[in-house]
Order: sequence, then structure tokens, then C-alpha cells
Amino acid sequence: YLALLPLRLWRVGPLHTSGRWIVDANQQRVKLRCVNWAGHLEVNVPEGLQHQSIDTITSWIANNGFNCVRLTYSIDMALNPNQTVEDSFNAAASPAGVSQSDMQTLYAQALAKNPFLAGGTTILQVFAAVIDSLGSKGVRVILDNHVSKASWCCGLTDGNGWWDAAPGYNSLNSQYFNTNNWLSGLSAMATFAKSHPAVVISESSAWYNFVAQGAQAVHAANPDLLIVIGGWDSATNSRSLFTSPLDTSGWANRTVWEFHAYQFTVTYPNPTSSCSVADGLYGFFAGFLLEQNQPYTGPLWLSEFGVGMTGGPNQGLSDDEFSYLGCLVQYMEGNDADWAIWALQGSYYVRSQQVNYDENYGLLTQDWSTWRNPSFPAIQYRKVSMDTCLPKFQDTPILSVRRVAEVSKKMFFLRHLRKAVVTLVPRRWFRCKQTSCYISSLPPEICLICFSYMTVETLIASRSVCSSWRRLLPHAENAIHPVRLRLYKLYLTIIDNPKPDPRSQRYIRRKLKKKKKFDREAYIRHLQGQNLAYATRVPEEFQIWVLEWPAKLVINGLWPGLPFAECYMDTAATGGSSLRYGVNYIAVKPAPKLDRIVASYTEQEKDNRIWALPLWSTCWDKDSFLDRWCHDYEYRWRDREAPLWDCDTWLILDTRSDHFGKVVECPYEYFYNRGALDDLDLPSFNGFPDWIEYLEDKWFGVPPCGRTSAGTILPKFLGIIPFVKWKGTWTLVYYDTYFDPSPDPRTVDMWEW
Amino acid sequence: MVILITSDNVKYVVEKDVAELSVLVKNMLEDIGPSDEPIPLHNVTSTVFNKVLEYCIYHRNDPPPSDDDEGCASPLHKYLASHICSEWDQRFFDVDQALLFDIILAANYLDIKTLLDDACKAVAHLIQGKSTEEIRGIFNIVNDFTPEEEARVKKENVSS
Repeated sequence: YLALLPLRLWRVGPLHTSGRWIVDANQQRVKLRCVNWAGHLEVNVPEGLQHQSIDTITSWIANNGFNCVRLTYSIDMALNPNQTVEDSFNAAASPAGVSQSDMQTLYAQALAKNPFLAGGTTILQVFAAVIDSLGSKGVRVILDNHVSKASWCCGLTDGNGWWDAAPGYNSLNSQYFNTNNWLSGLSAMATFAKSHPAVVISESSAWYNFVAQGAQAVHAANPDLLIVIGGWDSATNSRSLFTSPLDTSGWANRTVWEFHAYQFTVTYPNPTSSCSVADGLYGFFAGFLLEQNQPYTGPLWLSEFGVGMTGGPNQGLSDDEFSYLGCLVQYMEGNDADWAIWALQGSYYVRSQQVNYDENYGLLTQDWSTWRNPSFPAIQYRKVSMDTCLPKFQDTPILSVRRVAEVSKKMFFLRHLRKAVVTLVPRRWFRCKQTSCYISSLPPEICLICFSYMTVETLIASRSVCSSWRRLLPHAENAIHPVRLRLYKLYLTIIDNPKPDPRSQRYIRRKLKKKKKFDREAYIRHLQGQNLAYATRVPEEFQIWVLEWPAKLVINGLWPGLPFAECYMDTAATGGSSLRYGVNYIAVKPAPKLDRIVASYTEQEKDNRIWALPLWSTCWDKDSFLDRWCHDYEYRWRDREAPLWDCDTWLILDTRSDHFGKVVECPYEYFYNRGALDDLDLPSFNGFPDWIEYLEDKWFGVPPCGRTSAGTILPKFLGIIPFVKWKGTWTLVYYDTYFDPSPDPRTVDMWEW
Repeated sequence: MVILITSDNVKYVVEKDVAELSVLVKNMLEDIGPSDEPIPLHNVTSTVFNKVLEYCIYHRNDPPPSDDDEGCASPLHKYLASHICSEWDQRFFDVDQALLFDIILAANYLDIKTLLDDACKAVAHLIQGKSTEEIRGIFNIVNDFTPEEEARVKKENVSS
């Protein structure tokens, strides 16, 4: 058990979805590996309490590697939560078809194992106790509205089938499915979940209009919950979503699709037990939901599957179920999707009018003490990867479909086949025409692997190579390094939102052409060289940006490859394609020297300064530039309002600081005289969570240093004065002034002052 | 020892640990149990298999790749196409395109993840820093955009 201990350290918190993945608040993927625990039968109390204490059961779940429980309940319970446990046991006698004394015996046994069930404890409090006990062990809970009327599920005449208000209602199948009760029950449980943080999901089964109502009821009552939506035919068929997606915008990023698959499931007929047939069926009816960037994309959770645990020749499993499980597990593992096995319970209080009814699908023995089939964990765990949260970019994209090595049992090994199945998009769709084709011999999923190793520049160039690459590229997003992906997306944002400023662009293009190519790697190496001395690190966002960003898309003239120069021009009004007023420190070669800014206000404690990279400044001293002492006369001449324009940009590199990786813009004197970073209210000083967000905001013209006006204060003229290194110091060169070839009427000659 | 037969009927006798770098072969060995029967590799020719075998023999003692293993580089470098671990590997992938793509297909078929990844890196490396036009030239790809699309693509494209 020692090895599994870290599971307990998990903190449970709200989840949401991102594409086909379920992620936590830190954007880390959470893979649901659940076990079903019934609580929806007549007694309306989670099963098994007559055999073990809640704590024993929940410990067993946590210790055996499950990270969540799908806890089933009935609408009966949700609408009548204050019934006491004792009453509930007694009341179950007649609907369950057993005698009153049987129920009293069961209650007495449960009371002995779980003394808190005595007296006025209500059935909802039992659910609460189970949920909180699981939560304390790091196990999340999915509340599943299994049935309306508390009873065993599912037959075609159990009266729980379809909404009574919907077309297709027939009294035999739907007499207990009252739509209004269903909605209020869902919303009651969602509200209940608020005070029990382990609950992450509320589940509603079945369609469009009705599902939407149910989901909205849940979302309104508790917006933190994920909402699980199942398909038709006992949640085995979701194909209609392919052609007519459900509008989930009312509860965006909260939808999880579910499906069920048993060996006996009629939706997936598979008489020959062939995995490729099974893959095709699962893919057609449910698996397609995992394809990224579709109107229906969402996590797909196999919320019920299971096998009889004993009595068969294959380590306890029957032939059919053994091969069914093999194929299913392979399919799920290949798609790295979430699951919940049916079921935890080794027995029920009452089912089919029998007390202590034995459940052969149970993981636990009839007395809930240990594995019913000790070899099952090996069968299952060997195949299902137990990894909890792989970083997103290492997950297999859906298009890298399963390839199945099938060894025929009868024909020995001679007829092994290796097939690609469930390719959701026809392959020719992804092929570029070639005169002599090599690369087009690759299947698309391999092209995706190649894309994942491309730099941002190459990704951008690849997008324009041919129409099929352009279509294929979005499918690679899961495989691309996340920072590269963000930069690539930033590029897309930029081309979708053009901010034309031809004057600045002419200057940039000319300078980039003239200059010999700037050595990006040397720049990063030099920054990292300073890391060793200062125990700092260059954030990946900045590093990949320097190494791979296309120079022609410079934002605000912030680019190490441009001349080290001072520019007089307002930028905020025109956005990212304009140059920015000030000095581009970032262009110091081989790389700017790191400087220290105050991290806490105590001036005596010099160690409270943290390392940061100066990127841009409106304040300079031409004689000793890198000392950065700003003299009033150097900037005040321009405008009486000049101090308003005074603004430094820093990228924080000090790993000891909580602010590592952030970009701050603040008046130059700020860190020396007035405040400290710890006291800094970042939004009010234009604090940016990281480099890429900073660039994006700048593209949209967020003005420097938190000024609210995006208007022009400075006279609008373009003057760019480069610095050169002279006798060891950087000095302004006045003779190489750049003037705009097409003068703006507002252009002011540099020499006027 | 394991006997493998390529699609052009060339027989290879390979040590078990080398052959098992291929997950396909490994699974098949597990399924059939101890046996002297040769294993047919339908989708691989001997020309390509020579190359694959060379790689497997050189890398036979590599530790299995793991997530936290930084290998020969920083985590960032794992994603750089220019970064193929050793000089030996760089020389190994210095082959003509046809063979390189055949190696990828063989690695995919035989399920040798490290070879597949490294070969894909080599492909990405071929076009690193290249413009759209240059990429088309390298892979012999025909520009199939319609004139309207072409105009839009040109406007977006900053690399040419």
C-alpha cells in the first residue's frame, strides 16, 4: 500500500473540461478511474454498510488505486432526503418484497458496523458521510441519478425509462419518470454537493431539450460541477450527436459524455469477439466524441462496464467476457479515456426479493471484505494504465488510432493482422499532392508526430504548404509542446486581428533585412550563463519565443534582433505593429544584463531584491546606459506630462519569487523609491501572468504602465536613434537618425529640441 | 534467438532482447510462447529492416524512456527537432527521404517508439527554419490552393 500513498495527498477541487480532457484548476489533466457504488435501490442508502464501516470501504477504494466513485442515487431519495435511516430501511420492506423483520435485522447489522446511523440520522447524511470520507482520502465522487423510483435498474418496464412529458412516453416504461420531480431532484443534489467538495460531477441521463433542462438545473444550482450526459439505448448510443450536436454553451466546459458497454450490450454485437469489430462499434457509437475541435468534442467517460468475476475458465472470467474485456480495455487505453467499473458492491441489502443478494459483478466479496477475484486486479491493471495525470502534450491524440496485433488462436501466429481502425477522417483528406511522393506515404497520425517536433516558425510555414496540411495541423494540437502551441495560437490571433501601421513596419522590415542574422541561440545561452551566477531561470515562454518566433511579427518593436535604439513614437493608439516609445533594452548584445528589483519594501535587507530582465525603458542615460539612472532633464523636456510616460518593462527570472515568469510594467523609480513587488497590486501596474499574455495584450494595444487612455500624448513623430558601443559604453548615435520617407504632417524634426 | 522473415523472404536470426525492442514482435512472442517458428514481418523489406536492426542493436541497452527522464537534454530540448541525442543517431538518419519514410513506416508497424520519434524528429529537422516554398521543394509537394485561398494564405504567411 505504501506505493499508493501519494494518492491520498491529492487535493480535490473543481474540475472542468478542455477539448476532450478533464482538467483541474491548474490545467493538469485528471483521468477518472472510478468504481461504481450503488445507493439507488429501495433502501436509498449506499450499499454494504451492514458488512463494513464506511471508513473501511472508502479506504479499500483509495488503497486499490481508484480516484473516484460513481455513487448512484434515486430521485426518490433526492426529493425525500430527510427520512431517517431507520425509517428508510423499514419503508423499503414492501417495495423490495421482503419482510419487515428482515429489514430490521439489516438495519441492526448496519448500526453495529456504523453506529452513527442511529437515531435521527437521515439518508442524505449517510450520502454526505460517504462522500466526505472519500474526499478525505482524495477520492472524487460522481453523483449519478441512476433511476427515478428507487429500485434495481434497468428493464424496459421498470418505469424509469423516459420523461413523462416527452413524445414516446408510455406508461409502462415511464410511469415514475416525472419531469418536474427529475429537475428538482437534480437541482437538490447539485446544491447538496456545494457543501461536499469531493463531489465533482452531477450526472443526468438522456435527451436534447430535456437534457438541456437537466443540465441547466444542475449548473444553476452549482456551477462548479461537471455534468455528465449519457446517450440513447441505456447510454450506449450517442451517434445522433455526430449530426446534430447538443448546445452546451449554457454550461460551457462542463460537459462530459458517458457511455456504457457490457458484453451483453446489444448496441455492440460482436459474435466473433474481434477487437477490430469492437473498436469500430465503440468508435461509431461513442468514441467519435473524442475527436478534437468538433462541435461535440468532450471527454468521454465509460461509466459502466464490468464482468462476472468468478466461475469462468479465464482466471475466473468466462470466454466471452474475457475477450470483451480485453478489447474494451485496449480500446479505452488506446484512446486514453476515463472509466468507471461496475461495481464495488459484493452484495445488496435487498435485490430480487432476496436479502443480502450476491453480486457476481462485484469487485468485493459478498461480505465486502476483499477482492472477489484476487487475480482481477492483475488482469485489469496490467492493461489499463494507472497513470494519473500525464501532462496534456504527452497524451495520444485521438487520430493515432489503435493498431491491433491480432494473433489468431486457431491458426497459431500465421495470420496476425495489424490494422488501423476507426480513422474518423478519410485519409485522402490529409494527403498533399506530390510529384514523387514520399511524405504522402505516411499515415496522418504519423504526420502529427512530425508536426509535434516542429518549431513555431516551421509550424506557421507548414500551414501554408498545401490545403491538406492546413486541415491536418489543428489535429496536432495535443501533441505540440504547450508553449509552442500558445505561440502558434498567438500568431493566429495576430493574423485574425490585423493592426496596420505601415510606417513602423517599413522600419522593421528594413532593419531585419539589413542586419546580419541575429544569433538566437547565443542570446539565450548568454541569458542562461547569467542564470548560473544568480540562480535564475529563463521562462520557457520567453526562451521559445526568442528561439522560434518569426522576426517579421515583432510586437511593439520588442525584438532582440532589431537595432538597440531609442524610439520616439506613440504606440498605444495603433497596437502591436507599431514601435513603442522608449529604449529597447532587449536588443543589448549579447544579451541584457540582469538587474535586481525590490521584492519587499525593507531597504536594509538587500537580499529582498529579486532578479529580473530589463526589456524596455523610457528612461535612459546616454553616458552610462546600463547604470540606468534617469535624470529629470533627460525626459522632462519633451512634455510636461512626461513622467506619465515613464515606464519600465521587466521579466522576472528569479525562481525564488512567486512572481517568476511574470512581466511587470511600472514607472522606473518604482522599485527604487516607492514600493516593492510583494506589495505590488499587479493589475494596477500592468502585471502580466507571463510573456505570451504580455505579447497578446500589447498586440491589442494595452497602454504601458496601466494608463487608461490609449490616446496620444506625445507628438506623433517617428524618430529612431541607435546606440553604439563606444569606449566600452553604449552611446547614442545622433547621425544615423531614421526619418520616415513619407513625412506625416505631424512629424517633428528630431533636431528641434 | 528469434527468427524473423521480412516481406522479401530474407531470414534474420536476431537475439531476443534486440528483437523485443519491437513491441509487435514482443507481443507475438508472448502470444505464441516458446517456439522455433519464424515470425513473418509482412510490411518490412530487408533494405529497411537492415537499417532498423542497426538502430536496435545500437540502442539495445538503452534504459526505457520515462516521463521524468531528461535523457540527454533539458525537457525543452526533447521537443526540438534539431535535437537528436547522439552523433551516431544523427549519422544514422542522414539518409535519403525515401528510406527515411520507410524507416518511419517500419518503426510504426513494428511499434518501436524511440525509433519512430527520432525518425519523426529527423523529418521535422529537414524543414526546420525553411520557408513555405522551400518546404514544398523539399517534399515535392504541389501547391493545391485555389487562387482565392492562395491570396489569403500569402497574406498570412510571414515566412516568405
